[in-house]
Amino acid sequence: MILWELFLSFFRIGFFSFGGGYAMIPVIEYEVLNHGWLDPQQLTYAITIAGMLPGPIATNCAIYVGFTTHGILGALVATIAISLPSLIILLTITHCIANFYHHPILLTAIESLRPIITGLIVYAAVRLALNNQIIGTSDGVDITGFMIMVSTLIILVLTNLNPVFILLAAGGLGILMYY
Amino acid sequence: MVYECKEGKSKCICYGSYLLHSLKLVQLHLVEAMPSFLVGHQDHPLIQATFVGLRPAVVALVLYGAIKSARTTKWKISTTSIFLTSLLLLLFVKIHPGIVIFCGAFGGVVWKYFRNLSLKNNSTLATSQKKVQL
Repeated sequence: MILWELFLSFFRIGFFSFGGGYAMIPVIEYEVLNHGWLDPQQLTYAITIAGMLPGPIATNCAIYVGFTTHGILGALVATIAISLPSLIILLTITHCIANFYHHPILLTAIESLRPIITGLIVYAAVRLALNNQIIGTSDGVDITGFMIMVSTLIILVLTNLNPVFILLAAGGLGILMYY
Repeated sequence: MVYECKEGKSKCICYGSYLLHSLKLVQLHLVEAMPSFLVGHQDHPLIQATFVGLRPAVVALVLYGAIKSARTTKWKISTTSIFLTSLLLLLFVKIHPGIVIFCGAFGGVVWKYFRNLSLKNNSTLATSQKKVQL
């Protein structure tokens, strides 16, 4: 039963994978938290690990959630489920609707999706920051965390550094400050 | 999975699928090793300290993703209102993000249709006014 629910949830997530990567976090969060597979803290761990490893962040999240829910079989089911929709959509586009690529309605729909994807990513960032008390909640704000977030963002915008180095540095900083 | 490779476009898709599945296997091994390691050691102070530092960095990475996505968008009144509406809906209404995606794309098409319709009406009106003046 859990395997079937895992399959259905990640299949749904895969169908809304417009924008990929971080734009999928709100959809993953919605499904995972609603099913109670992970709590917000564990989800942050999952996203952190998924971001650090090679491969798409959404697939890595799927593997993580699948594994913590139902072991290796769960990881396999979640991976297949999240990959299937893109395979189906891509094959359909290649074989059936290639002639409609430049249709005004399709172009308008794609143009309208861009700001929504930006909105989804901003929402993902806000929720992650709220869940980890990096921005304002009634429980108080982690000022150090806020400072790390702002400085990391500035470094990313100004230097275009590889995110893996940023994550390694942030992990090291955490060890230095809190261990 | 077993694929029979044909020529042309299907051949590309076929080899792409082979590659995708072999890469997925490597990825699966890496990511499944992480949670099993973390479950055993998640209370270790070193792991906890690492994650305290990592969490804000991940939030910054996601925000950077939003900035990069915003750079690819043509910002007009229509796109700005779609962005704000979707963000507010996601923040304050417990709605499935998929519905926001679908409604946004559909809303954009409807907006464009009515805009084109009003532009067409205006141009027809202007032409008929010119004819009357002549």
